[in-house]
Amino acid sequence: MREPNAPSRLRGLAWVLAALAAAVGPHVPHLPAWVTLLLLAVCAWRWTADLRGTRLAPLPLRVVVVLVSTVAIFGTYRTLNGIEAGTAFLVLMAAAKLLETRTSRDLTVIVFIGWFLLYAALLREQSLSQLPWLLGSTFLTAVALMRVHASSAQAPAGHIVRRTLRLLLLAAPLALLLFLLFPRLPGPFWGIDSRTEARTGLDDEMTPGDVSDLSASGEVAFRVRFFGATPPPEQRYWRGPVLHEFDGRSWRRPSAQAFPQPQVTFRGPGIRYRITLQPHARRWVLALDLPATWPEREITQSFDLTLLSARPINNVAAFDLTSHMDFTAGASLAASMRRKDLALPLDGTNARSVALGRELATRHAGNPRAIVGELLTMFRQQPFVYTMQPPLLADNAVDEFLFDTRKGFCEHYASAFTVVMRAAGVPARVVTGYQGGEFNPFGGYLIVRQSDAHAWSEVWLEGRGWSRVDPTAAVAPERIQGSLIDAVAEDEPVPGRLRDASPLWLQVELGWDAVNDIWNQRVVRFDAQSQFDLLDRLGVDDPDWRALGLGLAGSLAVFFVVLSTYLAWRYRPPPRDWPGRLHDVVVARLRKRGLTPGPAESPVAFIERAEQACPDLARPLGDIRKLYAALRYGPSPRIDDLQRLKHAVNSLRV
Amino acid sequence: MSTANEPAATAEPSLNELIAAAVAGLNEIILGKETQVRLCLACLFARGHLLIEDIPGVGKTTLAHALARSLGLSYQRIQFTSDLLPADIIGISVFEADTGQFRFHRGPVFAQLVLADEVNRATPKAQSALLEAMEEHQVTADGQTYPLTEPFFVIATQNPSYQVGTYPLPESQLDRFLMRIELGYPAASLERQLLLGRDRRDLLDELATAITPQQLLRLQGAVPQVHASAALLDYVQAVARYTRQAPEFEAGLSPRAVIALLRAAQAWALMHGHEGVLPEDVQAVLPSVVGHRLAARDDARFRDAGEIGQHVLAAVAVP
Repeated sequence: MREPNAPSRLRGLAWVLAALAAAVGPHVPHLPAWVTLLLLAVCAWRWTADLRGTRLAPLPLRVVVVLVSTVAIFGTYRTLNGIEAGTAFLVLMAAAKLLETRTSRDLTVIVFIGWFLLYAALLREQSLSQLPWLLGSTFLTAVALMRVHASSAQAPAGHIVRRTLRLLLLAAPLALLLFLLFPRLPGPFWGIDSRTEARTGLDDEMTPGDVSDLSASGEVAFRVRFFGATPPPEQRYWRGPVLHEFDGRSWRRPSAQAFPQPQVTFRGPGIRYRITLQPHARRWVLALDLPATWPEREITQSFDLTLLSARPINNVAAFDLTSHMDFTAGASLAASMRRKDLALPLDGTNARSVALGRELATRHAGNPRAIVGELLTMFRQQPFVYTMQPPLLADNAVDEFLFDTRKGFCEHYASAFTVVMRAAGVPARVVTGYQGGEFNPFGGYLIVRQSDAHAWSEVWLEGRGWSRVDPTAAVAPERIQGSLIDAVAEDEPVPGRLRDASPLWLQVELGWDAVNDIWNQRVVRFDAQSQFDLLDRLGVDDPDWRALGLGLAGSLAVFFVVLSTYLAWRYRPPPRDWPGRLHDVVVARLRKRGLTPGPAESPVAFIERAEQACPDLARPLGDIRKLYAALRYGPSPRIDDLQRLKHAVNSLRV
Repeated sequence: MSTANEPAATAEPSLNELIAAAVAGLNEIILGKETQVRLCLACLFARGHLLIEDIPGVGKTTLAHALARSLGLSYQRIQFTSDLLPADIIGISVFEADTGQFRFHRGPVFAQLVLADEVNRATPKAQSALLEAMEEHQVTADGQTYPLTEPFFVIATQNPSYQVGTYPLPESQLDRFLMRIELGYPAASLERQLLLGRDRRDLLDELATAITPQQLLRLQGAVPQVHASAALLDYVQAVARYTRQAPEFEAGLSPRAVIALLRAAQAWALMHGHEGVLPEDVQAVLPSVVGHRLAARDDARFRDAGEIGQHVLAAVAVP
């Protein structure tokens, strides 16, 4: 006999602890270390407490733990809302719950916290690579739940695992139906949107070194599927944020953006494509220079022709765009814009560059095309080096680069070029984005990575409007025609050296990327429009929300009918013997008198009750009862008893 | 053992008559507890031992005493206290000066009906001495084994375990009792009769013997002979299977418990003149047989054995 209040071994505790640890796993890189350590410590403590049978934490201690962790979370994040603080808070509450886990009901609560944490991991990221872990953890958590509620402590683990697997497989069609047909709410779920977590990608500020840092990452920035021929590499300029303000070192987007929208005219055929962006937590949508059409409801265009999404791109997002290579953007330049794009810092930094610009202007009498041409020639002829590891630059960054070090990455060239142009009186600005991309033959699409990040310039020319000038192309044409790896020295930290050296590895990586692309297109990006397309393919004319709801309800009904039919067949009662069938007849007849057997009422007891309820039937029912009891339960049932029972039942008149 | 030849001409009363007489006699003493009295007799006929769990003063001792009188059994009462020793139960060897030898003085357990009163007040050591005797039908002292008299029937009473100063019987020992019953308070009208009527002890003295020990042994022999059909065994096994699978119980019924359930149902069927065991017989004895053997996982789930029984019965279809 165990002592009252002493905790006994909790069934399934080990499984639940393992499942909780697995569910916290995806969050560990984002949680403060003390939260993870605290949870592990509590898990270990609860486990030893279970082994040794020590008492659990008293109520005051638990209250203190909850209060302290709430305050600590608030102190760390300044809020309890949002995915970061919310996850950390949930993990701490799971730890607190472990302090008072006495019954299987408490364990069930922890199991559900585990599932919720796994779900929260999906709010954070929906990449294919974390899917195996999430599925495995979900399964482990389900096994833990089954273990907690197993009927016997001795049930072997293999048995429970198989049972869980079977149940989950039975539920899989349901999950698929809900995935396909459950109405997708437009907009981010729960308004979880304001994530401050750093993402790899372009910024709205550029300092020398930024783009080369970005280029050291092999992460995918976006993928593009062309609905026609793929343009050649040297034309693949993916336009991102445009930078106007220069402080002598860094370039920024202007804070006030009240500039008139320039006139754009397009010529020649458009290039249609779908771009699928990886989340980068900013609003801009990269587009081939220069986009002509875009989904108007989701995207607007800024005064400097950057596409901006309505919300920061925190999830994988896909857009169908059209771009033209041949265009005229801004045939006339507003005075305010001209002022902005001619402005240089007034503090006298980079004086040598400014002097060079002025000299070029005087030499070419203000002819912009000649000025551009001469500066590009200078880049081409003088010993400029294209490198990812340029020397550090001090206060007069442009001067030092242009006249002393002459080693730089694309941002150095773009920055220096733009400064000299402005000094020469040519309106100019820096454009950041990506250039090039790798074609994936497995998926038939283009992969653009962070290592393709690039910066170039745009100058405004009378009659031609804003024109792209890429000084990097003058210094390192291999960068524009091939990729970064072709353009820099062999010892530089370019991502993907390994795959460049091994064709097999390249195949594997491209194949994996193609699978990721399918995952993004088919699963992550499966939205309301995809649902309507699906219904359309299934033959629903002009599908709408109503059709979707009806489809969902209908297919759920079919699913449950099929499932319950299967279960009814699987667990059908054994076939009835003759006395049983005859008793069923009696029950059916007596139902007319308003008599139904109770859930645990035996046939004999039921007929006995019927005899008392219907005195007029007492005699025939009494015979039936005796014959039934003798046939069913008697020591030596006789065959003629069955005949007599049949006769008695058939002649029963209600 | 009787060696006298009984006259063959004397019509032996039928088992049913014997039982009816015993029940009628006992009901005069114990008012309004006919079900418990019948269960008590069924337990005795099935060669089981009985545990009565209730608060003091509801007639546990009176029931045991009346049963002994009604069945003509020799009767001993052992009051269990915290200082009770095993020797106080089974007896002790005493040195006799005149013969110069040890002689075994038989303890109170050498009776046909032993009432172990408030069994949970004694230490586990004393409890186990009694429980061993119950199981083996013999006691061992100083290396010598002494068989107990037959029939041998123990009625143990137990205070509810929430009362202070008790050593509750462990689950393994609860299993030794075929049935556990509760008496409960009498109905108001019957309590009035108790208040108005004569002293129960005087009534006990007048209670006639309804069944002789020989007849009792014959009855006990007849119980396992009561027919249990395949359909009925299906039902018993379905009940057992349910208790083993149901998540609300810590553990299901053991095979010993299933046998106990069948024996009790057979005794019940015999008492009620059924040719074979009916599902009703199983249902009638089920709460008393399984109530103390099934531990609910959630302590607050069931109030008493009756609720456990109802829960199990409602879940298992009668074949």
